[in-house]
Amino acid sequence: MILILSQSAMEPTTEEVMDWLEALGEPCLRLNGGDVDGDADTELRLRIEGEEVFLGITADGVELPLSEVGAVWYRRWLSQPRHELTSLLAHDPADGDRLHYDLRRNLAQESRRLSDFLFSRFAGLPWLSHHRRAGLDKLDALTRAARAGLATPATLVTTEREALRGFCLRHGTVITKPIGEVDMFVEGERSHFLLTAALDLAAVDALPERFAPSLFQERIEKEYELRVFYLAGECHAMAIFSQADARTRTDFRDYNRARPNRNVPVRLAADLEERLRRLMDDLGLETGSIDLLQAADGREVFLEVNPVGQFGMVSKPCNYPLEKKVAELLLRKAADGRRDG
Amino acid sequence: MDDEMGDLIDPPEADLFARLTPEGQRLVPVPYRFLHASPLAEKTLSRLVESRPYRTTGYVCWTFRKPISKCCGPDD
Repeated sequence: MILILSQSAMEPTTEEVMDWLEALGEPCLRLNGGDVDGDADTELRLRIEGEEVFLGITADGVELPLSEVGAVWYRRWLSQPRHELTSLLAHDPADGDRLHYDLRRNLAQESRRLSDFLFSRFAGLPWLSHHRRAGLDKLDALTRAARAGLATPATLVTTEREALRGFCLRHGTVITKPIGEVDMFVEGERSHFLLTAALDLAAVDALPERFAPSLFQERIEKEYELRVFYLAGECHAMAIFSQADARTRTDFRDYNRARPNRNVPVRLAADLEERLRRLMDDLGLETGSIDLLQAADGREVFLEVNPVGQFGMVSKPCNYPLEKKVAELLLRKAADGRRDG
Repeated sequence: MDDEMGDLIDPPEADLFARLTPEGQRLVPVPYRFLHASPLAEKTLSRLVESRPYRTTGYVCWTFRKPISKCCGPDD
């Protein structure tokens, strides 16, 4: 049996892999982060007696057969804890913001500690992806990519407009993007996306003298973008022709839905695949979604890797059956788990 | 589908950065000045049973549905 650790919403990828596991005859058990986040439908029992730990989870009145789990797939977990979306105070006191912050911080910590302990119960089994490596440090990945022999963009993190100005004078137009995750802020029926944005010298001059630490990179003229889904040493690559569309030129995720970018399967050069393998080994990742640019000067430039990135966007247009490949890998891991157990 | 909705001119309230307090504006990094506002998809597909019919012609990516890529022209 495969245990899938996922989230309840926005996970069609998980659902498709579950479809394949079912078709291949392997039972799977899906536990969403929300299931242990105070969900009334799930009953959690964790009893510790000396060295013995008894863990039981009942969902919809059915006891989950956790002892039968042979391998674990960490897909995602708890993107929106309920306490973050709930107003916790019935009446806002004078210092309500601070109190609210403290309450949420503590609840987040409790939730994280519990999740960590739950995951640790399966530490002896084979895993695909791991929660400890799900949130990768982008800047660290850049230096490791360079060490693996990949070209990387000149990068600056600064709080100073003048430093950015100097960087801009050396490299021309620059881009800015989050140091961490690409995030989205939802407000009613509208979303606010932290996409990559381009800044020329005039835009830089319009910034205040000092700002919060921000990431900037040289803007690289590209032929196309490459999204590579890496799985157990294999690269499944897709070229995204985003350059000809002004809307998607800086970030293909500013999707032109009326006239989508052309996405086609592409075979990477063997030496590039080898460098990507070296990087993923160094990062301790068996899978991940890697973003690169095919630069106009012929280089393939590494941008970042998301250890739990979506891969339907590569699987479907390129006709790579990635969901099936993930399911097959999980089957092999479960077989390994049974043999070793 | 909401394909063309993202092309509408954003109302002033779409600029989240402009609505931050002066303190908030100082605390956020530069990418917050370039937030991209767009309407949410009509509904997030969260269950396989909902997304299955759509997958015959496209795929689900985060909060929206995207058609299978097609070649739109020689300059695409």
